[in-house]
Formats: sequence, structure tokens, C-alpha cells
Amino acid sequence: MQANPLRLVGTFLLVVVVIVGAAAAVPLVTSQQTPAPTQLDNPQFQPGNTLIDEAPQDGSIEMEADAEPKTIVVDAGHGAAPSAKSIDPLVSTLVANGHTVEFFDPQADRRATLNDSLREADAFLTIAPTQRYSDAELSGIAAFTDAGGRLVVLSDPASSGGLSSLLGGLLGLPTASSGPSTTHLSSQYEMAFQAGYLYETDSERNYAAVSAAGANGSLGDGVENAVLRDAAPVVVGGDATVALASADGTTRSTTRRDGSYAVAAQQGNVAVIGDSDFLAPDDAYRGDNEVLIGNLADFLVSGEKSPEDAPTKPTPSGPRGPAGPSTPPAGG
Amino acid sequence: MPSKPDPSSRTILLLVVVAALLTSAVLAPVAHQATSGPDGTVMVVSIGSSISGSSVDEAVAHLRDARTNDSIEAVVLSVDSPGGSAAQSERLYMAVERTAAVMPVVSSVQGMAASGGYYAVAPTDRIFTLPAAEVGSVGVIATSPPDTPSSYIKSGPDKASGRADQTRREVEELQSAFVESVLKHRDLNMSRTELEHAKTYIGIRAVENGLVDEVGTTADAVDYAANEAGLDSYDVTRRDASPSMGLLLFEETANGTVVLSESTDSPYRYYMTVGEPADEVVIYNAS
Repeated sequence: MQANPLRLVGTFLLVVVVIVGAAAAVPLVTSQQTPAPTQLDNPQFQPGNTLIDEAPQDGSIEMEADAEPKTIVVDAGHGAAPSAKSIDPLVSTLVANGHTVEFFDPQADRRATLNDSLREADAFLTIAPTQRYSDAELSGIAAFTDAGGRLVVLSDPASSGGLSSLLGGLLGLPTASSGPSTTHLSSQYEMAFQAGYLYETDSERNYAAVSAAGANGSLGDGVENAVLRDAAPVVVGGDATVALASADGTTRSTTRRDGSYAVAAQQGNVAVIGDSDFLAPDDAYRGDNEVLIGNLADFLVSGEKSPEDAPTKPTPSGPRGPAGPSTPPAGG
Repeated sequence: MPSKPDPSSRTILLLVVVAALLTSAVLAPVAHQATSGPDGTVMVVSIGSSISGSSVDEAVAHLRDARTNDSIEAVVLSVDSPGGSAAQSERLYMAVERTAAVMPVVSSVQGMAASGGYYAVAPTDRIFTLPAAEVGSVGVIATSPPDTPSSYIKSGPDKASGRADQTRREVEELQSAFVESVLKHRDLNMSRTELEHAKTYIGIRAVENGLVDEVGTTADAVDYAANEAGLDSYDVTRRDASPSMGLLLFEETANGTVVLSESTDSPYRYYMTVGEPADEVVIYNAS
């Protein structure tokens, strides 16, 4: 018996339709939709919870108006090399108020000596020097301050450990390398920088910026919130007074102890501040920094030097100044 | 009297039996597998080296596979990383967090889970560590903003340059989000201040201060993950999230040492890494 060709074709098509139809229909029944991604609840990434408002930088740097024109020498030797740009707010303020600012730069003039510059100066500012002052220079600075010249030493932690040795004989606190100082300066100044830096983790600022307020002395007048970056702690003794103190809750990097630390001190014609970044244009108007800079400018021009040409002549090498490697002072 | 079976009926019966045997031969293994096979699979994802765009691409793809594959019931992250790019660390954190929301995810710290490496394990259900592994460094480090290039003409004052103040603030903001993320997932036995110091701890200390849960190996982590997923028997599948090889460079250092280094992703500004950010990784040192 012969198969009917139409029946065969019909059977073929029916089988194909059933199989292909089933293949198409099964996924419709069994397939799952792609699951929606789990929604993450991360409030810590929301701008309102995380972003820090930029603190306004306003105010202006003011000086007392009654000072006579003075000459301020800024040390650009001894590895200090402050650029005019980095301390521009202070220099501009002094110049705008009729004072003269000179940079002592032995690289530019090899015949120049620090004592020659000091003879013409009313104030001497040195910022984080990294090279030791010679005995003759230390003697010259001592004669300069004895005569009423103003001396301001600024530090930053990178140099503070060595500064006490570089200037230990001058500032007067004994260092491990110099031993107990016997110069009359030691009883006169008694201020030094300590090793390490201060930090504050509980503020919105970067941890290395600490807040300092005025304590005693003219440098801290009207300063309630100076913002100092990488500030070195200052230790005082004798009659020296703490001019600026960090807020409670400040920690010293080397000891990890919390407390309030002195960051600036002054005694007579001499002042030390454990930071120099506050002079930079970026930081000059942060917090009360503009008030501090104004106070510093006033301090520099408030001395009365007599005799006016001190130091009168270079002093031969004396006992002042450590000869050994610098060592930070002990203490905590 | 019973009639003699029809030969054709016998043949049909025989054919039916043969067909049944053949069908059973096909279906029996399937039935056996269904009743005796593992309940599911635990995926172990290895995250080694520094956290970069390409390594996170791999890790994120593996985690997505785990979420979408019905046979994967749990994930174990086997981590040995010092961290890396801040943005890529955040991306990995979110992928891990998303996976942990739908299945058990457990971590095993091999040698290091520091900074961005710790960010990745923080949202997991349990963290195992080796005793000498290094854990922590919850912090952000940024490269200093560049100075304004003088040989270009720019459209604005901050184009291709930056201000340290902005970078400092942004480091604080990223750090705040990082710390909050850790505190969200971990019940720590130390203060927020101590966490923000970004110290790295050995595994034993990290157990004590709560950065991790217990000392253990990857096997412990796999077993824990399987238990959490309710698997009495399980398979383990392993995936590697290594960065694709970048440009290999032969370099000769000043002292004559030949170094084979691999350049990493383009340099970012912000990093979550235990050491200084590096734009290349030394993979062979012929000293």
C-alpha cells in the first residue's frame, strides 16, 4: 500500500509545529525575569552626611599704626630659604605699613654675613632653618637681642627636632648634645621646640591641623582659633610665657598623649612659634590666622634697639652653640 | 488450556522491555544525581594584589555570577590585598555588600586585608584571618595636587592643577565615608578615634578589637559559608580576580639591577592603600 504524499507532508509539518511550538512555549512558562539589583542603603555616601562645608576665609591682617619704620631681616640662609611667596601675607603687611623687609641670602652675596645684616636691622625672623648657626652668628644674634632687637623663630616638625640644637645655645634650653647651657641667654629665653608634631583627629579638618588660642603675651591677643598645620610643641621654662596653646584633645605624635600643648611662646624680645604654614597665602586667613599674623608683625616692629648698630662687631667663637649632632630634647 | 503466546506479542513485549531498559539507563543517573548530589556550590573568589580597575572588573563579574547562578548558594572572599585606588575600593565594597544582601558571604584574610582590601571584607557576614595577617589601615592617602603647568594655555585656574586645601578636605570626606562604612558593618571594640588613626594590626589583635571575627583558614570560611547557606553537601568552585596584565617594562635601576615591572591603571588622585600609592608594581627583581 502506498502512503499518501499529502498525509506524509501534513504529518511532517504537524510534528515540526508541535516541537517548535513547545520549545517556544516552555520558556514563557518557566523563565524568570532578571531580578532587580538589591538596593543598597548607604547613607555614608550621601552628600548631606559626608561633605564638609568649606570654612570662609575672610578678615584682614591689621597692624598697630603707631610704630616707627623698622627693618626686618628674614633669614634665607641656613637651609631656611623661605620664598617671598610662602610668607607673602606677612611681608606685604609689613611693607604696606611702612617697614622694610630684607632677605639675608649668603648664596646671593657670598661676602654678606648675618651679623652685617643684623647691624642694620630691628628684627630678625628665621623660619625652620636646617643648618647650624656658627658660634659667631649665635653671638651676634645674642648681642642683637641684648640690645633690644626682636628675634622670632618659626618651626615646623620637619626641623623642630634639630632646631633646639641648632639654636639650643641661643634659646637656652639644654639639649642632649650641648648639655646644660651656662650662657646668660639660657636664663633669659628658656624656650625650645620639641620633636614631633601635634594632631587632632576629632575635628572636621585634616588631623594635622590643630586649633590654638591665645594664652599670655601679645602674640595671642584676640586669637581664639588659629589653625596651625604640622605644629611642633613648644616647651617653656623660667619667665617665658606661653603665647598660644592648642585646644584640649590635641595629641603629640611622639608620645600619643592628649592634652593642651604650647605652640608659641615669648619672652622679652624673643618669640617662638611651632608652625610656619600659617603665613602661607592659602592659610593666612583661615580661622584667626590673620589676627596672629598681625600680632607677629607688631611684635617684629615693637622693639627699641640700643645701641642701634648691635651687634657692634663679630664676636670670636665663644662657648655658645652645640658642636655635636643635633638631638631633640627629652621630655613629653 | 492456555493458548500459546503469539510470537508477534512476544516480540512486542521484548521490545517494550528493551525500551524500558534504555530509558532507565538514561534516567537513572539523573535520578541518582538528584538524590545523592551536592545541595549547592560555594564560590571562592580570590582577590589578590592591589585593587585596580581591572581586578575589580573581574571580582564584580564573579560576584554577579554568584548572584545570578541558582547553583551558587554562598561566596567566600579569599583576600590578600594592600588596597589600591579609592574609587575602585568603593566599587568592590558595593559589589560585596550587594552580594551579601542575597546570600551568605564570608571572608578569609590570607596575608593582608588593609585599607581598600579591608573595605572589601567589611560588609561580609564573617571574617576569618590568619594570625599573622595584617588587617586595618582604614584611611585615605592622596597624591599632592599638581602645580600649574606653565607651558599650557588653560581654560580655568584649576584646570590641570589643584589646591592642597581642596585635596585635604576631600581626603577627610572620603575617610569619613570609609569609617562610617566600617562602623555600619562591624561592632568594634575600639573607639572611632583609634580606627581613624588607620593603624594596621596583626590578625590576633584584629580579632580582639573587632575588625575581624576569628582566626581561621579558607577551609573554615568555606565550611561556615556552607552552613549559613544550609548546605549539607556542597561543591566548591574557585574564581580568581587578578588584574589583567598591564604593560610590562624592563628597567635597569641605578645600581644595575634589572627590574621587570608592570604599569598599573592610570594614576588616580585618591588611594586607599597601606603604603604609598604606586603607579607600577615590581613583579621581578633580578638583584
